[in-house]
Amino acid sequence: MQDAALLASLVSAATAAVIVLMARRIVLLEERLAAVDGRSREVEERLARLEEGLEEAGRAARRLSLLEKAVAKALESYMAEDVLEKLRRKRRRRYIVFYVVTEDGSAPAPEEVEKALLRALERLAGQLAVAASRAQLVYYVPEKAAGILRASHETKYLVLAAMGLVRRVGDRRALIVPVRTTGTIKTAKRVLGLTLRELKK
Amino acid sequence: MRACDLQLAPRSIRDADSMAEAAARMGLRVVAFEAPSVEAARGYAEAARRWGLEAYTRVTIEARSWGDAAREVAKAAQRGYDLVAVRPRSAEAARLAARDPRVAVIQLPPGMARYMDRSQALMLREGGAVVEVRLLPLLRPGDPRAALRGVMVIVRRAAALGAPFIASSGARSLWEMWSPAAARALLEALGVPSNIALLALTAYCRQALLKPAQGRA
Repeated sequence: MQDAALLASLVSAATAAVIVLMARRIVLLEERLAAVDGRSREVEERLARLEEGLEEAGRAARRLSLLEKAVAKALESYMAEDVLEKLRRKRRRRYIVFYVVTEDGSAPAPEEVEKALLRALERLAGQLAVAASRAQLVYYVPEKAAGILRASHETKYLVLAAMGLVRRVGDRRALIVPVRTTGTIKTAKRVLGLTLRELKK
Repeated sequence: MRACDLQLAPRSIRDADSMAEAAARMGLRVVAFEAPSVEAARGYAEAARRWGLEAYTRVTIEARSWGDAAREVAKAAQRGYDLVAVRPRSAEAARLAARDPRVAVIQLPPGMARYMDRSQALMLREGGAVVEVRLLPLLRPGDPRAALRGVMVIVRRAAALGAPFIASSGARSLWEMWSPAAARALLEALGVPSNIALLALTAYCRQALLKPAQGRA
């Protein structure tokens, strides 16, 4: 009987100890849970702050893209203005004074001279150069077999080189000899040795 | 500007006279005449002097191998030509002609543009000769592209490597002559800087003329 009572008291003591231990564990777990709760709240707060930051960055990006668009538009218009300004600017021209030497000593017709020059220019540099040079016989003195050819300043050398390639004008052997290149037709006419009255024509 | 054309090859004294007149009118001041004999060349030069030009005699020797060409060069120098030019047909001839003290001009046809390289430029520097491009092939009827390309490669390479070069017409009559303004413009159109193009028609020619056919020694 005594043994049974001792056993029962031991069991009850052990049970009480287990309960105490369990209670302690539960307290510890509760503490830990509380700590985790606190951390999760912190994390949530941080996440909220991050979201706010992202929203702010998105708003800034939108503002920047608007600014970028505005700058691009401004640049486009500036470049267009630049191109237009270049187009508006007066084209620089050169006047090439030349004389023609022919086999029979007679002066060729101005159309023949111009045609021979343009053909030589096309042979040397192609149709694009003919178009870009805007070469045109602007003045011709049949008595002197001399004339003035106008060309753009950028293609002056091509036109002069083409003059060297001309060996036939019409159906006659001929040479076109450049004398001088000027910036104005007035000077070119002076080089041709024209009188004052002829200069005003 | 004393513009030069160091290769005029008239076929008669009448041609030489008309060419000299045209040269004087075009603004050329120095010319060199080529003829089968030195006497004929001297006659042409005399005719040109009457038009106020500084005229010289010249001979062009075609060289396949330098061994044979060297003898020809020596003979030409003895005969009394003012200028001896060599038209090389091989790389060896081109290199050795450039170093020879009697040779003043190396004439490179458009088809031999590959010989105008760094070695050739060095040889030219050693010998004091100049490279010559002829403008006559550009006047041939038909497609001018091959000739233009050859001339362009030679002059561009020469300008880039600092080798002296000259442009000569090689004209056989008045109708094949080039005015200095047109020749200079052509060189510029081919991509040679403006100042070098001017040198090719003036100072480099003078350099060739300063080299006597009899050699330095």
